[in-house]
Amino acid sequence: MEQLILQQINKSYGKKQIIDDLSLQLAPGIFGLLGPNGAGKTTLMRMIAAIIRPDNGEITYGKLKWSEHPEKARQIIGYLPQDFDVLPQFNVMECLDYVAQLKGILVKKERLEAIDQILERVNLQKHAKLKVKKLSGGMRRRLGIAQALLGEPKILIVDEPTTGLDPEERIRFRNLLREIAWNRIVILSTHIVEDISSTCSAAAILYQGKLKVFKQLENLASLANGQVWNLIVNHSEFQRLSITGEIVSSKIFSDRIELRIWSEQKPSEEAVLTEPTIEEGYMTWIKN
Amino acid sequence: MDQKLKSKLSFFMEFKLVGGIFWVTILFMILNFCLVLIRFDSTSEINLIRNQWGTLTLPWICLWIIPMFQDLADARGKEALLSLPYNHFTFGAMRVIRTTIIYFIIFYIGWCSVSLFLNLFDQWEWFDFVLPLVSIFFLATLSFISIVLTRNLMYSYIIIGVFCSMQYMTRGSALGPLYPFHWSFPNSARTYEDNLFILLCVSIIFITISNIFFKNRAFMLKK
Repeated sequence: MEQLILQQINKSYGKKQIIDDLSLQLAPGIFGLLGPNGAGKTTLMRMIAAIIRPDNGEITYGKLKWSEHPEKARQIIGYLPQDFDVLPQFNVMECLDYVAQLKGILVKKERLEAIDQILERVNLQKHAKLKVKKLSGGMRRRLGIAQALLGEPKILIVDEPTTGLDPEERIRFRNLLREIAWNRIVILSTHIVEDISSTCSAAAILYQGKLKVFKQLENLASLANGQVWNLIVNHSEFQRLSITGEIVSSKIFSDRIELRIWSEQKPSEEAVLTEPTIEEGYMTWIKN
Repeated sequence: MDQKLKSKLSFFMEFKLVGGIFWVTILFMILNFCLVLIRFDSTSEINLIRNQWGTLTLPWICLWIIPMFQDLADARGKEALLSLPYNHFTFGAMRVIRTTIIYFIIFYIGWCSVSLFLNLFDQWEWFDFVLPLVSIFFLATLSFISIVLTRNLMYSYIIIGVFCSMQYMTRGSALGPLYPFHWSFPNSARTYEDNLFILLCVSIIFITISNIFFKNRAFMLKK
């Protein structure tokens, strides 16, 4: 299987450096790209999708170089951006037909077969005749992934796909991503850590243009080793609680409150060290 | 892989993209056709009939061209489309040319029908064959360059609207020699040959510049 290789990519807008000497090597599977808003994730996605060019550096897939043949690069890429809000006047079927024609599937019979298969895959067959403007947020995301999958791309890029989805749609979307990732490279860009922890085997954090790769998610979680504490208090103690560090999460029960606290020092006498999550590892990396 | 680069849109898709406004244009032409037949007869001056038919029919090509590129220029999710492997020439300039030809055919069917009903064929002159085509092509390329450079539907319509109104009201004196109504409302200070030549040259320049910007996807991505 070919790998997607990014070598020493740089991109700046004016004096602001968005991507700073970024190198990355990706094999088939889901790769998570984490980072706060404004970290440069979308810029990176757009460069991989061959919409914008890096100032320098090279993106390659096998022998194919983005700088030499961006039009060929676009043929092996499926891209679902943050907003998929186009072609409202079309119904689902027509929207996919339009995209299929632009992807070069010119024979009508082939096109319809491909569309049928993809609609089934994303569970939109029943809504094939529904206008795009009438689709719910989750359905529109599924349509977005369907258009990205047309033409069987080798690289699939999905940018913030679960933002704004309800929990049921979010789980369905993650399952869909898992299904389609077995034979292709899927790059999942998000700032929702849960999306990464439930779908990806490897991830990277992009922050201020710099990329830190974690080949295993446990490595990311382990960044917070020794810094995450569990503390159980009752409701009245919680009112008076004075701790060092930051409360990451809390579970409220009728008789107690369980707190997870992120702190380099023991936040209180009763606090117990606990196993950190990916989210806590991510926070540690960002803060450090 | 190279074969895939031959992506193109069917006519059905093109007109679906334009939406209901496609039929508005056709409706304008039919209404104008009826109006011409009501107002004029076979003794009427051909220039007056050209004026009525041409002025109210030529500019509406913009209602086809501008919305055709709306989803690539002025839509929130346009980057999904900008990532597709379409050929910029086939999907840009060629669509403008193809649509111009279709519009011209419909325009010409109307004009020939008017001429048939009002017995105008013996008054036809050489420019009746080419000048409307070049004028439509000019307005189509002006629409294309407007939507590509502004990436805004409303601004594009305003540009075309202001340009056409100003030029028509001043017979082409307001904004230089780019006068697309010379066939229907001639300016006596200019010849038909000069008008034809200038419109054709500028149209070629417009379509070339538009396509250069259209090819630049980073430019098209800007809001």
